Amino acid sequence: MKRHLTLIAAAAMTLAQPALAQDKDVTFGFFGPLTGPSAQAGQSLRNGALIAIDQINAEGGLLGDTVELIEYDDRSSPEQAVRSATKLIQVDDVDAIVGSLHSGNILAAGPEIERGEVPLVGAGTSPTWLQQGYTYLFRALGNSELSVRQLAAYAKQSDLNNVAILHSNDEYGNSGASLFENFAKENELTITTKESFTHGDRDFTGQISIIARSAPDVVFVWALGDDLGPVTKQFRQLGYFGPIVGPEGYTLPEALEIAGPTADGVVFAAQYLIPETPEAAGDPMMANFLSAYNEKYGEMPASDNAFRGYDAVQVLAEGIRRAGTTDGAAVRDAINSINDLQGIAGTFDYSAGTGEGISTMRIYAIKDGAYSELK
Amino acid sequence: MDTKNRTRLFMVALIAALCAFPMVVTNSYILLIATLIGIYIIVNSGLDIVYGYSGQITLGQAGFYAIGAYTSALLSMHTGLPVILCMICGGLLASFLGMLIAIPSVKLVHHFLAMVTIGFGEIVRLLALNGGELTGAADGIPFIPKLSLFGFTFDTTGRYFYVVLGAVIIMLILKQNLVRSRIGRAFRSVRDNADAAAAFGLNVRRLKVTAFTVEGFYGGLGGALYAHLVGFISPETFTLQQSVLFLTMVLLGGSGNLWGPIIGSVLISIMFEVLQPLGQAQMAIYGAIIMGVMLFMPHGIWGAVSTQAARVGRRAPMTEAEALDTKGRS
Amino acid sequence: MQFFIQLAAGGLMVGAIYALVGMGYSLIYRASGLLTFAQGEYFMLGAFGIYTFFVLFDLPYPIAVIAVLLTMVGVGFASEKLLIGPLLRRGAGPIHIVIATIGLSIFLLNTAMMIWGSQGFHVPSTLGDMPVRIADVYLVPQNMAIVVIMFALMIALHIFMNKSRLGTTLRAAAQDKMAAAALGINVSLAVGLTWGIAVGLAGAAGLLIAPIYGVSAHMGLLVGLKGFAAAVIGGYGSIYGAVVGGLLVGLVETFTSGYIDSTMKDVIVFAFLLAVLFFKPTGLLANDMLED
Repeated sequence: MKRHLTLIAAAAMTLAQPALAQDKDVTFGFFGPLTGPSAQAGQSLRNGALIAIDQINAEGGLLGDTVELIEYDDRSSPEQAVRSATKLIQVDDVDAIVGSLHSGNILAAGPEIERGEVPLVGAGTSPTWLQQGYTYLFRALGNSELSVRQLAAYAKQSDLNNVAILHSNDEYGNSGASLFENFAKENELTITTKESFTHGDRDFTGQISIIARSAPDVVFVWALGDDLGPVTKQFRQLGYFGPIVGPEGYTLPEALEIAGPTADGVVFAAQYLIPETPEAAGDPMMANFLSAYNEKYGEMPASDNAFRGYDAVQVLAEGIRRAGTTDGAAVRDAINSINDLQGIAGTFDYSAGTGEGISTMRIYAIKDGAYSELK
Repeated sequence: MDTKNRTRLFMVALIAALCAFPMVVTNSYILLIATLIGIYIIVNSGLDIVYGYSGQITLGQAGFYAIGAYTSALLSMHTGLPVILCMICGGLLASFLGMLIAIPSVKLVHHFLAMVTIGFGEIVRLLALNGGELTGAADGIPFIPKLSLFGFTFDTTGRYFYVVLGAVIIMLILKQNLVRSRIGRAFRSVRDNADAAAAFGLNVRRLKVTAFTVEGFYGGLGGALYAHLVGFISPETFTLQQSVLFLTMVLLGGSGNLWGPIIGSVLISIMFEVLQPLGQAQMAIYGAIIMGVMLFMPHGIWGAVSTQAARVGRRAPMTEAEALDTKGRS
Repeated sequence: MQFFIQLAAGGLMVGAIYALVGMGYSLIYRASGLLTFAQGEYFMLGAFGIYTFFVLFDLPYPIAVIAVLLTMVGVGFASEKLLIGPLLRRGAGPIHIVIATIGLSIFLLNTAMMIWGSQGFHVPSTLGDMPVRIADVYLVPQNMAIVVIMFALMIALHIFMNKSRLGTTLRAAAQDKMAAAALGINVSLAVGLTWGIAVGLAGAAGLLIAPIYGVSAHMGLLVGLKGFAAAVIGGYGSIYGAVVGGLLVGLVETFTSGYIDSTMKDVIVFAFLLAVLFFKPTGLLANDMLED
């Protein structure tokens, strides 16, 4: 009998151990699309975050503790995002969260994050989730409002005054399109027509025929990377050969591959590009990151979400350092005090208190399958 | 003690255990899963009435789920109606629309009926997606208000668990009353042999429509409960995949009885949680499970358990030719 | 007018794809009175097939095409032997087959993502990507080829089923299993082969559309549903019906998108399907076509 009791006690202690150890480490949570159509981007996001965590741990960790990452797949679904966020906060008791890259998912998980008082740095570019009054959400790259504003200005500068809009009928596409309509008004551009398509659909004959018929000077496209290849190609196939302005999804390798030569004449806004090799990166921070990424994963990242993940962890880590604790409210306030942190996206400044940290965006052009930056 | 009293005692014990559940398990995530299981049980019990008791295939549950969710959410946000009434309205509207769709549909069977129900579900989802300001379109509807009754707000998952538990008990009692009544027996005659049922004077069409109408209420109420639990809905939740998931739960658990939908809802939900770390393979396994259930347990777990208990000799397996001949065209 | 023709050309091409997938549904229904939900995924596998053989393995295009078609016929045959046949032998009803093929489609979709990945892939077109311009209407050679090939396959299928010995054997097995078996026909083989051809048709649609749509794991979902709608609208069980239905769905979809509202495109297709099911469930092509 006594032996049984000892065994049970020993078992109970071993089961309790991980829980105790958990409290000691600083834990970061992650949720994003690890499976499904955006899996490449989601995995890049997670991988980038891990590189940052590795570096932090190599330098002694945070507050003297090793940093750990707990990851969940949000499967690009808002419901799954809510579940993942709930699990991270309630079960895993994480100190900070990176993710998702889907703005709709961040929006869905918003109330849970705010209630749980855990700072989150999201990788989605839609402005909406930082316009709801949440105080615990932050962003570590420029939002799409910046992108669209610059593209509208570019159109104006290039004397392309008649614009047709084609966007995907989802959270991302809708917000980009309505942003552009606002900036078009500011820049006195005329919208010749506005068409939309379902994300994932591959036939745009009707929409593009209407657009071509409206004889625009330039077409504004806003959709996720996996749609952009077929869309761009069909524009040329249905007789529109003019310029196209669009989103950072054009940095996705598959977009360029599928579009091929039809991508010539595309101008898009993006925070950063992935160079061919780590050495080709102009920025030393990016070069270091890419070398580390290459070494750990054996390849260059497939999506710029890798940069977003890296920067996200840096911001959260800096917040924890400044606060000197992992208490949510203190870290949140500490992040808001950051105004000079170097990241791959640029210099982070959260002092405006909106949760936005970057206020510049770059524009690139595509020609012969290569990117070049437009100043 | 005889079987009936033993069953009653078991039920009471089970309900008592469930009432104690949120007091013992305080983990918010587990409570969330448990509450969702309760909601699924309601939806699946309604589905069981159509599929298990009246023998009609339906893949449009997500449509009822969506109608209930959106109706309740919008009513609670734009009118002063108390949430509990909004939920009931959600159920009623889904029920009404179910009846409307059922009227021209019930003359169809099998794949054709399946196609109609799929079309129904997809149209509901597409209308929600393209509903502009009203439905929130692709962005969905956030900040759905919590349920309050007599001044008490159910704002934590633990409290909401009791609401759903209460709803499950009520809806299951209603279901049992229905299936044990004359209408319930009529449903089963239609399921087993619609022609014979008609020959005996049953209005087959009206019965089938009734089944859909009832399912509509269950699905709509489930959707409404979901909306006020999660606080956020978007068209992505209400896809064909969701309808397939509901049907799978009923099939796995066993259709045409009280416990089958319950068992199926619980098992599949737990399975998904357990398989989560496997990533992509999780969904592939889910597909394999569906095929496996059809191959090896076509009457679900409850069916397999019941047949074990009352084995009445097995007929010899048919050759494929015989099977195709007798089952093929209908 | 140019606008109308442009839309019509697009609608016919999309319709041809639905027709090919729909022909498969109809063939299976005729052969065994069953409904399958997996055609969309076979379509997707056909696209991955051409990507694998033509791009990854770098085989010459004609060889790659033959490889894909043979593989898909084999996959269809295997599906029937491993899943459908056993189900039928255990006394499964139509509803069980429906659910089982839904399970199969989920399995195939996710397995494809595990094997190839979930991103999009590019297959170059042997006819070039750029359109030819005919009086202000832009036509892409690949698109036109798809329509032509679809009709060719439809005719070939008709000839095969009606004029060849093997085809007649398949039809006999479809019409009356017992009698066919009594005549010494291997019914099991015949049904398997019919499934093989049906799946091969879906695979052909996939390999044809791959250069235009790109290849990705989710490409089959909506196409499968619409191909099924095509078969039902045209007359379930009829090859010609599937073609008529397919082209009709394609045209309705594209004209809706061009003249009414692109967001209502899918809603209208489903509403059209429901209307046909409510008012003429046997399909638009009258009953006598069921026997062709």
